[in-house]
Amino acid sequence: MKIQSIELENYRQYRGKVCVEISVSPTKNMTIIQGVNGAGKTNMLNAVDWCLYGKEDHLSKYDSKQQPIINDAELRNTKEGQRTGACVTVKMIDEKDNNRFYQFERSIGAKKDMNNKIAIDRGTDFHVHMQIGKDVPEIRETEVLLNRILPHGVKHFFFFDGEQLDEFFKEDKSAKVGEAIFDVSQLYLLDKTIEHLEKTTSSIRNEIKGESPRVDEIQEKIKEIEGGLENTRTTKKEKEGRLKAVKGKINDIEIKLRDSSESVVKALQGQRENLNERLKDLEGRIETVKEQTVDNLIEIGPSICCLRAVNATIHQIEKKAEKGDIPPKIARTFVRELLEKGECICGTSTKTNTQAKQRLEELLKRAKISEIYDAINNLKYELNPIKERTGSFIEDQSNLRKSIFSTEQERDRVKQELQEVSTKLQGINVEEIVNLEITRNKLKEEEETLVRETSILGQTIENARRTIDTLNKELQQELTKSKKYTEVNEKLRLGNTTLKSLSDIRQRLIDDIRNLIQEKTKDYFLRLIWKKETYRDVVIDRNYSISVINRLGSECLGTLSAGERQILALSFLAALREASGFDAPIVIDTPLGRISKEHKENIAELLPQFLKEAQVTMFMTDEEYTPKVRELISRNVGKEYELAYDERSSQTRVKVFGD
Amino acid sequence: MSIPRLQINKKILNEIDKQIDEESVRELSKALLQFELENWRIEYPRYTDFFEKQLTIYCRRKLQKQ
Repeated sequence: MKIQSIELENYRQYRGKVCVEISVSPTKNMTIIQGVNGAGKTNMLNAVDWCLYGKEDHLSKYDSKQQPIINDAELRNTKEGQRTGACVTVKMIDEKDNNRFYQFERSIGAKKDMNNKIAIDRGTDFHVHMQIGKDVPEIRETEVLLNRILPHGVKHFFFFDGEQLDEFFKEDKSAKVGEAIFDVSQLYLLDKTIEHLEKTTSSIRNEIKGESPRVDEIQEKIKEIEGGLENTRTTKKEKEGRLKAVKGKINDIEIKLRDSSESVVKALQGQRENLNERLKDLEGRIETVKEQTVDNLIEIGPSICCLRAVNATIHQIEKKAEKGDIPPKIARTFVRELLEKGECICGTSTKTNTQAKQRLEELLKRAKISEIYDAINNLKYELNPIKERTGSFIEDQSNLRKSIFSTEQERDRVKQELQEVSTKLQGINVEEIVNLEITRNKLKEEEETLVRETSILGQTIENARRTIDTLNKELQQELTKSKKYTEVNEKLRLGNTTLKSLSDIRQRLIDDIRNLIQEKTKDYFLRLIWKKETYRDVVIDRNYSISVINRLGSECLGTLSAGERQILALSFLAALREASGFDAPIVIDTPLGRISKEHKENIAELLPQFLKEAQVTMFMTDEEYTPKVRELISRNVGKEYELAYDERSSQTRVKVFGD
Repeated sequence: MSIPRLQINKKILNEIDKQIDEESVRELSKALLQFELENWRIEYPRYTDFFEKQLTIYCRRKLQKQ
């Protein structure tokens, strides 16, 4: 899907009609719109947002929501009693669907009364047209259509402000990352299908009545578990909702503390944020070492169980070899060749010397027994590594446990320090701060409880599912005895098999997509970042929490500069797009805004490679779009514009770059 | 005027083709996913009839083959 053009009419600083054609060329996939600060770059991004979703997510403090969307000069020049308005039209084409054409148009009207007062309409008009055959009729299902092109939930990953990108990883945004991966990869479809299929198979199962006491008994059990499952799911959903709200409230309080006019409060909150980062790092490390301990146990456990037998076998082999009880190795082919040749290895002719011939024939007979030699030797070679592996097991386990213990001690120290920060904040003689801190602590406690409870509920749901699965199989087995329920039984089998397959696919996709995004993010980040020696790895864990690992092996996301976080976010977004297979145009405002001068060029050179199959529109300042940057990306740029703001007429004009 | 069918993510389709051997399970999975895709964002889609109908279709096909 590509944007063909953006048309603005009396939208904010764009007076009259302004049209920007976006490059749809597959090779020259970039469009650059350059302008100084305040020229109207961000408002063009806002215009696209407003047109498609009716919201302006990137408003600056100068264009607050109180400012009318309709151009100031246009409103001033409208005569009394007359109407005017603003309109934004976005035209798109879907190259993967025979260049199907779409047109989105949103407008808002206003009227100036006879007292020179302006009344802006409350609502907007939204019209969508889509090409069907040769016609381009208006489509009523605008919401459904928009969801197809760029769902609201994921648009932040395709239309974004580069300067705010670093916020993406600044706070704990793992839930957001997880949601993005789910939405963009359509994994929610699998969730919905599984949920509905479970309910459908359940209602089919309820059709079975009075077949046999055993069938009734299984039915009852399943019903009981399903009832409980439904309640558990509802409770889990409620708790997750509450958890989200609690996290939001904690975040709000922390922002208030960070922005406090009291310098002590500011400093303490800063200290707390660093400690929280450290705590997260330590907890992650404890988790990793615990996983290593279990992996080590799983890997070596079977060998430990067999160790006595392994030792006894090796001992027996060595003893037998010492005594000469193991038959010698006789190469059957070699002896046969000697016999065929008629000459022994010592030069004796076996044709004339019958004794030598008999001896070789005897050896050939014994060759079959001598195969034992190879088998015993192979066995010894296979048993020895098992013995060796178990040798270091106790030491390995002990080291891992020591590491867990020392990290846990460190974690407890950090927790203690966090507690001290909180006590200090509560001791500050400002009532508002004390109250905020008390509320925060209560919310933190609630957060911990909710995390624990949702995790237990998740496990309960998983266990119930497994039990239902086993009971279903038993039920199907029982029903094979009945002819009356052949079709119902087949439906159940089909439903349950589909459920199992879709659940497996869901899990595999979650892991695959996460791994792929992790790999790609790491690859892009390490190629884009200038401190190549400092960073070693980027990890996205099962909770979609992103970590950057430095060369010392420590997590260092919290210490990244704003520019480095911007690079991480750009890398993640490029990876998300590639791994998810979701095709949507990318519009970035000030992509290199926070990158220092010397690194802009490296990024400008590499970014087109990472986004080569996407249509990319970038709004850049003159400081970003330097002659060198322009030269580096020129191969990929299809269209270039310049925004010029005329202060006298308070309006922005768009012209082709360099004209 | 109806909107053309939406496309299920290719990764999901590939995985279904790769992992599910039984044809009826494969086709049923795709049909149900397509339904969910078309009805996404509808808070309470009327899925019951569709799901039951699809299960009946694929189940009868399977039984006929036997």
